[in-house]
Amino acid sequence: MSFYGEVSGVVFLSLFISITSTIIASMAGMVLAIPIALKDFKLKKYIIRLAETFMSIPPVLMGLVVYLMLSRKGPLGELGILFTPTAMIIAQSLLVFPIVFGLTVSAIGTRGRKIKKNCVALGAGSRDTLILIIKECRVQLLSVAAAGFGRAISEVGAVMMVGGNIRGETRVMTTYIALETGQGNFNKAITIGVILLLVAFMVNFILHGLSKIDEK
Amino acid sequence: MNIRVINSSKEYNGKEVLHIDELNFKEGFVIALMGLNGSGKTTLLQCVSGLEAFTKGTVLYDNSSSFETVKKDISVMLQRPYLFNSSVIENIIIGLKFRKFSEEKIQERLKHYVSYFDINDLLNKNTRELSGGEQAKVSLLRTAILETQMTFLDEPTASMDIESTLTAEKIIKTMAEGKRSVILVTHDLLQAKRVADYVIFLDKGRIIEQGETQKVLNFPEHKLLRQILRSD
Amino acid sequence: MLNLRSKGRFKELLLISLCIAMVFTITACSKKERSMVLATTTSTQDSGLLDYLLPLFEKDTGIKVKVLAKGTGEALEVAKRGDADGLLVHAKAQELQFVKDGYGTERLEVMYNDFIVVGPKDDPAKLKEKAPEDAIAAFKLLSSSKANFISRGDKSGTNTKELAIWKSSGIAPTGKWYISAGKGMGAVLTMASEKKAYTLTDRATYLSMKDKLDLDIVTEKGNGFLNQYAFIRLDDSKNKIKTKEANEFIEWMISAKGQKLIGEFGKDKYGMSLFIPNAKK
Repeated sequence: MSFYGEVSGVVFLSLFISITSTIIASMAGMVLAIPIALKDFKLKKYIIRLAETFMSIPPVLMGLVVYLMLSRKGPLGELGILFTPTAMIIAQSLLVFPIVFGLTVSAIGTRGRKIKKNCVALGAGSRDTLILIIKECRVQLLSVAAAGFGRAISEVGAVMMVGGNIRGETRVMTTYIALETGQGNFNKAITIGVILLLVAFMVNFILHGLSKIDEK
Repeated sequence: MNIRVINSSKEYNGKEVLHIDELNFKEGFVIALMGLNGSGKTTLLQCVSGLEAFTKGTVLYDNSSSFETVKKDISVMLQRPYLFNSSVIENIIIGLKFRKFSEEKIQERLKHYVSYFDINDLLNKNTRELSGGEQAKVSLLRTAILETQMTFLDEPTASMDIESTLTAEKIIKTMAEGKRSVILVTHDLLQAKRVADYVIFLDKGRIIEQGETQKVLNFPEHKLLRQILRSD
Repeated sequence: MLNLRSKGRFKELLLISLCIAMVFTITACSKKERSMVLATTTSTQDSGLLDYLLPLFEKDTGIKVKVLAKGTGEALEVAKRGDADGLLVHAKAQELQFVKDGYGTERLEVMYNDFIVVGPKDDPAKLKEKAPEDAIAAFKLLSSSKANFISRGDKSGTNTKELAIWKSSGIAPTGKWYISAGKGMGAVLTMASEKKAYTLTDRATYLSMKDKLDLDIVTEKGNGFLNQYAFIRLDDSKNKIKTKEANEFIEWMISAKGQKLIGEFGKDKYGMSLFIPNAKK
């Protein structure tokens, strides 16, 4: 396979895995975080603290946990998904989820409560309220998603462990760079590194543009 | 709808900010809640309208304590309302959309209420572009358009000029037709005299005097009230 | 407490379902094509041998081999857990133990090459001069001169051989000069080149990376430098694995065609075979 063929495969896989994990983690994270941000209850402080702890969990640790779960000898071994992109998506989603959750709670915060009160004042049900809060805080939520994506695309430890860095199968930009650097193929590593940066810029650019469109 | 508050109080951080032994809101009237800043008017409004809950006590809606069943018959305009980041029209009709009104019904009501204020050229503008007074008009309209049995208004005309205020008061009076009621928090004595049938005066979280507007505001009995109104 | 009725906009629900659907489609698709996971050493990968052989194997059988290139030690562990279907490593003692413990049913030798010691061009420990063909003498010199030495440190075949040589020379290497890297062969060679250090490597990997390295061969062709690679047929009663595909791969590699291809690898580029086929006929 030519270098450029390999490069496009690696870049595409990185994007696919990171974008999918970010979407999954963002949906789950926001839908859970918003109601929690709006209410006041006894366990709230502890849940937020838990989320903050998980936000900075070392990716390799998450990789280890997911590896043990997906290994044939592990509880989910029957699925046979270790060393596949699916496993990588699972690991990354788990890594991004607490980030989205924690940042959403702070982003929604007081503004969310104000919106909720106004919604209730006009007779909105909880579903309508949730939708409206997401709509009104679109800009903040998009930057939360961007932060989550940043974590996913730049992560190396977890995807290395549960993916196995198999060429043509589970090799992504970050694991590629790690491998090629170790082999002394610096040109290849730098090329991918530059592409990685460009991808990060582009995604952020797009997200920023989307939020600008919404500000009519 | 008649609302009865029985032996209720509200506490914030352990401190009691409102205490009501007994309070009846009769249906079909405009009732003004008045008092100095911090007297508990907004707290009372929010607790009775369901936005907050009393820490202790009971509120009966139509002689039953089920707020859920009467929820759809109540609407509230908050003191500093939050207008959504969309057009004026979208904001005004949003409550109707929540209640799943049909498109024709929505257009019908929209036409009617928009005619009160001269805002035709504002209709498609984003609410973020409006002035304070214009935003206040939109906020009032989006509550008025719901035509609920019970409407709570917290200082609705605070940012309006005199012309708009008088128009707003016209709308407020229509909200109390038939069995419908309005509970209105206001600082404006003249407004209360123009619009309210009854006045409830609060101080430091307790009712110090209540009754028909003319009587309470022209011939107050309570010492404090007499003090305040004499400086008029 | 949590209002689970609120599931967000329909559009967003659609998007997430789309993603999950995509993920499962991709997983399902990859299950349809025939594939297997081969746990092997870094030297078979880093030398380029597998990159050369596997496409030819896939052409003949339609089986895609996914290469999990770890050190021998790690490869054995992965196989024990049933996360790999095939095993190709080069540490005889560990392989025999593996079969003895019941994880594998058979050990089949397939090819060999030799180990060499490489070091910086200026050769501060003077291995070329004093121990050009004697592994044990070379190691003794390294220890006494405290020249920087990089060890694989990962229970790989190369690491096993290295430790065996230390044992034979009666030295337990300790000190700042003995660097345990925990990396694959290619990575360790790069490190040795950077740090101007010595290391033990298989000839194939060294040759394939020679132009990127600042290292010369200092000791070679001595006793005990044999590097034998073998397949282990995994016991499928222990774990659910793709026995059929794994067996086809073994058969192909020890077949006349496979053996010929192995012998030809590297001839045109390096002037010599990097791996010498020696499967029992």
